[in-house]
Amino acid sequence: MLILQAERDALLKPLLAVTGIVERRHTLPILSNVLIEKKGAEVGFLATDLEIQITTASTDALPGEDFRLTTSAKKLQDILRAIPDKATVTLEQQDGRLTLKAGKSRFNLQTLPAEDFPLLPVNGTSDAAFSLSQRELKRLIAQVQYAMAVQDIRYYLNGLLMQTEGNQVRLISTDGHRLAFSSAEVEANLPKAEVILPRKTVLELYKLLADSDDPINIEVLANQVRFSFGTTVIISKVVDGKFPDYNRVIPLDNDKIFLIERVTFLHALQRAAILANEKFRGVRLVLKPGAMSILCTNSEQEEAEEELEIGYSGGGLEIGFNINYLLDVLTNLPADTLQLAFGDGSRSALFTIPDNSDFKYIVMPMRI
Amino acid sequence: MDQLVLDLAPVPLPVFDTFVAERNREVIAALADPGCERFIYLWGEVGSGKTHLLQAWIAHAETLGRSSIYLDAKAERLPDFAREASFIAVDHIDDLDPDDQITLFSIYNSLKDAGTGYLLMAGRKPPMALALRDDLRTRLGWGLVFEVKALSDEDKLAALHAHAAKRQLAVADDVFRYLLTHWRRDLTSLIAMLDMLDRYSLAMRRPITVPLVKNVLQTTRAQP
Repeated sequence: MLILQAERDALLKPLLAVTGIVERRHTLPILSNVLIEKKGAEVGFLATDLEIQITTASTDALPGEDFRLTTSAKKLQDILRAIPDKATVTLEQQDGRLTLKAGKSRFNLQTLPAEDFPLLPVNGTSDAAFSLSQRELKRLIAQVQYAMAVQDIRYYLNGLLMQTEGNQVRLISTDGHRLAFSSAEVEANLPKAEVILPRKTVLELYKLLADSDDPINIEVLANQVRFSFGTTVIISKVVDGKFPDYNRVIPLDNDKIFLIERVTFLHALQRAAILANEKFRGVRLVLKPGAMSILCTNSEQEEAEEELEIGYSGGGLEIGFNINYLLDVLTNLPADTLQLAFGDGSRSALFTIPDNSDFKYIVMPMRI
Repeated sequence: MDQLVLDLAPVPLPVFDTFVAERNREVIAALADPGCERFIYLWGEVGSGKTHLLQAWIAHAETLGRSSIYLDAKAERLPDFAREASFIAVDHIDDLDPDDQITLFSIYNSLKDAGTGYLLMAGRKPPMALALRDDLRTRLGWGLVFEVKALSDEDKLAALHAHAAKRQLAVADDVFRYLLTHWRRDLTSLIAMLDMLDRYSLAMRRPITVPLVKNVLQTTRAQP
């Protein structure tokens, strides 16, 4: 029985939006499937890993009967990708099998009953809800997401803290070596609330956000967060745990302060990084009045040295860092000029944007 | 080059709730009860938890909104103004020097005369075995005296688990059992080692496992 006929992209685009979270291996076989549901003219796609659930709908109105089915997300995605982009795809369903035809190609896929597909229950009403443009949220996430921990035993570090208070929304991430903070004003009067978004949710959300002024609505629910934008809805569980008080690690008395052109500093570090030790990634910064030297050496005793002129007149300092931590912040921050503030060789450095309190990056040094 | 780590988690202050009290319920009950004897002396072996109890008692005083002071005779001289506090804790009284013994005796007497204020002291030996001035030693015996009983291995494991949970660390039980058999056995050292493992695992981005503990213990022992 013919159930759907559509141009390839009308199916592939929404499918790709939901399949990013599908795990390759799972104890529940149905979780490697995508739920496709046609209601009226709208075809919806849904995938979940039981922690995150993404739904989206095809924006094209498609004729045909209503249906619900689940089939392998990965295989359907591979097939649709492999057929020509303007091809017309037809789906037929018979005896628990799904047949996909395009031109002279024909694929027969297994299905599992849609009733068996686990859906995340939505937990009540929201504690805090606000919206901002997708571009703005994307920018905020970009400024902090690189500092999230990966598979740390401290679960609360494997994510991003989202804090709301009044008209402020703050995002904070840390892996214990460095901490990134970004904040923005929104048009809302929000209660004081905070949730830790899991790493996977943050990366998936970031991938799906468009560089557009279209809004995204964010709702904090009990142990859940819901993001709605366009026809897409992401529901995610949050990390159970208490995020550390980031205020206690912001250094306030660093007195070796100067401004630096972001791109100049970034390029110098990128060149020096070629000869940084592959395992430890150490870089030494040497400050003196008027100049900062950047030094890298590797295990073969090869050396790179860069010198930058800076408007600095304070005392001398030699301090070591993991060069990747410096490259991360310089790559992801859309500012022309940065302010750097150092204390001594064993205390954290503070990176900020001049005359702007919406961004902070705190990085601990390496002992030289 | 060693990566240094951010000081994200404050060291949790000792409170009664985090004291594993299986064998010391009476002590906790006496310390938490304001109607109880005003002069208490705790004694017990190193690592039995006396310092924890003294500091928890101070924290308890603060929740009651009372002025309090914790004095460590091993680390500092006893200041005379200490008598102005309502809750006075004096730790390690075995180490009081002669002048401080006089100060403590005088604090004791002024509290006794004033009829208010609480004094909690701790040492390694029962009052009569302390090498202190006779007058001070007898006063210690006049109040309530408790022996803080050492923790059993199971108590220590429970305390380590509780400490790890407070720091939101996921650590398997075998790590703690390994520590108990391969590291100093008193709880103070065990907790200090857990804090060190916490920092080390954060710096190295490695989970806290038995191989990691072996590694840390080796380098710790190698240093004098």
